[in-house]
Amino acid sequence: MQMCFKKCFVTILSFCVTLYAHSSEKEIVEEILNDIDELTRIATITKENEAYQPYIVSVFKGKELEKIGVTNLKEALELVPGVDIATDNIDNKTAIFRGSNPFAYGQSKLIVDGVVVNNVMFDSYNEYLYMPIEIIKRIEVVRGPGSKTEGVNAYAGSIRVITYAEQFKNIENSDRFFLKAGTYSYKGGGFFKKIKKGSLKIFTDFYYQQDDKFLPASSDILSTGIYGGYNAQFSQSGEAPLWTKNYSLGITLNYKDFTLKARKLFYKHGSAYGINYMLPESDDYTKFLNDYIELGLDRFVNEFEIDAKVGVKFDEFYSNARLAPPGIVFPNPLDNNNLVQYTDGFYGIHDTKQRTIYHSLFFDYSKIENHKLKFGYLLSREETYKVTTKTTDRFGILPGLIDYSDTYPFFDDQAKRDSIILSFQDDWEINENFAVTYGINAEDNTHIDPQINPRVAVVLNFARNIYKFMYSRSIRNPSWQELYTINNSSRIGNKDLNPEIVNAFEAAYIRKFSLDTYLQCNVFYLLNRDQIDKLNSLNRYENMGSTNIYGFELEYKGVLGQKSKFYGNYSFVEGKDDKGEHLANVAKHMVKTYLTYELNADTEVSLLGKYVGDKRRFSYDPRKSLKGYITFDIGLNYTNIKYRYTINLSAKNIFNADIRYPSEPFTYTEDYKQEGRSVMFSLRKEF
Amino acid sequence: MKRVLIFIFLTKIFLFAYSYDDFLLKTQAKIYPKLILLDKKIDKKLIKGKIQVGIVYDDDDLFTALSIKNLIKTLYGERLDDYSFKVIPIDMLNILNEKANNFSYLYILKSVPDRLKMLSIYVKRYKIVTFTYDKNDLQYGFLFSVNLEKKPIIYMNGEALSKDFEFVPSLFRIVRLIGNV
Repeated sequence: MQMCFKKCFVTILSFCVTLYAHSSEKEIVEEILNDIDELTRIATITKENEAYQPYIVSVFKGKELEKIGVTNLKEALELVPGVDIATDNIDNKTAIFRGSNPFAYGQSKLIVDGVVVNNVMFDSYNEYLYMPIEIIKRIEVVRGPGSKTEGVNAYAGSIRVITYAEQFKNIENSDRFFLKAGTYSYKGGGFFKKIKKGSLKIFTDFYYQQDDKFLPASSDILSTGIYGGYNAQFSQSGEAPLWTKNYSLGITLNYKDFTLKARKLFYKHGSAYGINYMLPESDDYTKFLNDYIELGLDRFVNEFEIDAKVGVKFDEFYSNARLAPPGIVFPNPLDNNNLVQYTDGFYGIHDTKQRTIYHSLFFDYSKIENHKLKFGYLLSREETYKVTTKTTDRFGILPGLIDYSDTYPFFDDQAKRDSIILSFQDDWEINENFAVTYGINAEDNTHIDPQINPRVAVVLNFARNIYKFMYSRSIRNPSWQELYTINNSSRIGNKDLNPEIVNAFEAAYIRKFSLDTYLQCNVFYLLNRDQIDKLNSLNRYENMGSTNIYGFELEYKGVLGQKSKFYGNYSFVEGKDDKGEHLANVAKHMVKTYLTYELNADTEVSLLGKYVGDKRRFSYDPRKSLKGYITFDIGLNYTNIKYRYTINLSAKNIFNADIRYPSEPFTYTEDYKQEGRSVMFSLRKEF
Repeated sequence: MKRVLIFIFLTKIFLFAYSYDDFLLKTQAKIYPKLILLDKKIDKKLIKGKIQVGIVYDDDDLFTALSIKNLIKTLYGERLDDYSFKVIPIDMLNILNEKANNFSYLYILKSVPDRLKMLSIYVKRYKIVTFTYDKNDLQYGFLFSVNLEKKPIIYMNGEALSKDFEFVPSLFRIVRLIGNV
């Protein structure tokens, strides 16, 4: 009897344990649904589901780019469909999206780990273009004004750089260091490391790089006679100083819902072709400093996810250079335009420091079925807090540099702009095949009338076919240089500038053949109004008119057999301004492509090819069209899985093609020559 | 069979590692073990008292298989709910040449069609619940695949469902049943 009771007891106990120890079916299903929600959130943040996003986006992963020999952010952007690189007389490079105003900066925004880093002076981000690929986890490039509803006013495109500071639970990154060396005595290195102590997570990255690059420059602006026939004799050609010293330290701290992001960036570069388009001396330089610190809070309060940020950015433009060669004769603006001869040349130190203080508060609300609402505001104040102007005595008498910061500054030290942006967006998933995103940005600032920028995007997906249709309006505020440059004959600021405005119509078709293979086709029509440039006799920044641009992009990525991966894109762009002038300084055709081939499980070789077509000139520019170029890079990548290191050797522009970026008309007689054949060696080790 | 083995041997020397999407692997590593828990016959499928999952890889994909194993271990440890849980990478050639089956669940990485067809015969014979990396591989008669679209979608191959498989009804609320793959 006792035995029988024991048996019954054990049976009942086992039954109960089975019943209660295993999670219930409902709980497991609930867990899976929660996992799917969380993974969808991560996929959306990391653009893993890029094809379904309500804008046209290209995503490049840092580790894939490393394998094909891409060295830095600039080289990565050169692979994006429809994106070309332009430079200027101080080698302030910028990405040109779909041929839109190659003489303006700021038409695209660079966002590093969620912080807009365009400098206030030029609204450019040249100082970040050399960020080594080793510290970049992912680059997301949105063509068109796709991301503006989050408070960022992208105009022609936005570039999001995500470093390895981005971490998700159970999806963590390894620590790493790297060393690089290459042509032009390039040396570089850096690391990133994460530390975790309880709820505190610290991530830091650092890099340093330098080179001693000089490239040939043609006859400078003096040869054109713009500064008088007498001065033409002082025109120079020779080697333009394009050397670089660049470092950056980034820190991200996470503690519970709080995130602190900070970055210090130092970029010192040879003075290139001179502030006034006159060839400088070899050790003349410009410095761009770009630092930020931002505190963020991301917390759920009731039904809302709150994303609050407060931050401050500092950027500085500093130039120390010879601005004109010995013997030059200039009118002295301080002495009734009498002529002064500068027998030893004309030198100058120009320094301007800007500060941006900003705060944003955004709410995410997803409790309405099939809707994801996001709304909030962004407030900012940009201001100049220091201007230094020291030049050679304008009377040509006293030795050394004279401080003209108060009497004849190169920049308005009262420059200030307060802005408010209100933003609303709804992602409405009507059903699993049909989603609509609509939103509006309302912006007002010190210099402009209030602007309302609507946006609507429709995404349809049927089996392996995805269709997108988008309309958006956006503005580009004039940069500080365009607004506040004074006392400079080669560029004159204009405080009455209107913002540039774009109305963009875009459509895309994506065919997903398999997990790895897709074909994408985009068409676009851009109505650009109030385009800003200084291509006039006064060199004054003006809203010069409208430009209508249209074109298309084809993009294919796929696996060829088992050993090869192929990526290629072709872009076409054409357009006219309101005076009937065709798009100038823009490549109508571009092809970018790469192929990787696996020699064995450890070793891959790669071939990267680019074609950038001819660039037409303005009708009043007497030069012939700028000839296009084709470049090929080859790479060898070895990965040691056991010891977790990678060695990469790449040779770029192996046929030494003559790559040139357009110079402005009537400045340098020829265009700005870029690097020829070069090599780069990289060693990367993970921990 | 001999001819088949010779064919397999010959093809081996020409194979190379496939490329895998990290995020998709992580997604599958998170979801697949939970789908196992929705198997009504789980208790009958224990091998030596354990849920034993094989990760079937092809030639040079051992590193990928090991990283999935580590990932699943990080997520679930050595227990899945109340069961002992073991994940074992296994070479495609080895499993096809096994005389006895050691797995009730298989997670199948990429491979060539001929091998996948042979594997599908094997899994039918041993009534193994299968999960694939590539949704397209459901065409060979495998059962589940998670694909990343706008969100992760769990696909279930209706044609591969037979009376040998029995899942809790609520599973069918979260999967997308497909017929012609």
